[in-house]
Amino acid sequence: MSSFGLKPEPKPMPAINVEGIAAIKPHSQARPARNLDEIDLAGQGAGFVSREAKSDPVKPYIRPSRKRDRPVEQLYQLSMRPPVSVVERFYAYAEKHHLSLPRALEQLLDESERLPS
Amino acid sequence: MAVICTANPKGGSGKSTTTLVLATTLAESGASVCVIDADPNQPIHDWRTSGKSSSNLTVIGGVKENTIIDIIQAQARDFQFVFIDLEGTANLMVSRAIAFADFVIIPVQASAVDVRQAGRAIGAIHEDEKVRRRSNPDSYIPFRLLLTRTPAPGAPVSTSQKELENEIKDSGVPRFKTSLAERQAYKVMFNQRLALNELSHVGNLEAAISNATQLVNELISILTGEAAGDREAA
Repeated sequence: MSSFGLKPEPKPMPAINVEGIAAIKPHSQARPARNLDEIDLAGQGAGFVSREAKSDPVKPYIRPSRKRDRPVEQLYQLSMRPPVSVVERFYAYAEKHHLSLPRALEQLLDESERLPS
Repeated sequence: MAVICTANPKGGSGKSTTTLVLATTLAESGASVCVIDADPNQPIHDWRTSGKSSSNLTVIGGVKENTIIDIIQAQARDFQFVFIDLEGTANLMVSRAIAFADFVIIPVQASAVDVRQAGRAIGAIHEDEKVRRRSNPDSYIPFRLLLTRTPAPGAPVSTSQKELENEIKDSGVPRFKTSLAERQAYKVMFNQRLALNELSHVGNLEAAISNATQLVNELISILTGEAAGDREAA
């Protein structure tokens, strides 16, 4: 407001510099190639680093299979038995010496104690 | 020569607003203008694709680190003015765009944080200049700080802004004489997705247009004068 309580005269709108704009031309030729590694190194020197993920974050979809490829944990053989041939040899031993099975086992243990260690 | 990028690693400093105001004002005056929207939020690409503005402004979005240089070089051959609106972070795309720019605008609000981050953009400019000077000792990248969201002319200026302006002056960092004032019209441009001259019923629209015109005129005088330097040689 002026000292007389009147609004000041509005300033004329500035005109745009059309001649100056016309003087700006598109690049007439391609710029000389520059080494991208050098540019990046210069940028990194000022703390400008890549923010883009290097690998594709979207993994390809793999249909789930019900077939279990490998057991989750090692399955232990709970029904441990001696090999059949050993059992057969034990029966043969008991028969040969006309012994009951417990007696044949005791005799085998006694014999094993006499063997040189 | 008219590849102009707006860069400041600090977000919210007014990069997109500056870019849109300058680009639409130039397009309105008959210049051929392209904006490369390298901000992941794509504010200007969204302005173009979702809006109904009749502005003769071409906007390219979806730019990546590995494509930005090719896009800049291709557009620079077709348009008088190529603006690059960059993300508000210190990323590789920013330094690559700066390396291929003819002129860098560093928008800053009157805050110490903005100015400190602007220093990082200036650092990137100087680092790239060092590389260029290996082949051309006179090479340089012209740049200017642009104060944004400043009080409208006639409105009281805060002490902190005055101090900051004095600091910039003392440091010798070049800045635009014109500032981009805090205007409702600049926000409404994004809300309504229209150019300044297409807006209506916005408070003090004439002042906003006048401010934009002054800024464009100062930019043109810099580009046609001082900044004409060694681009071709570089």
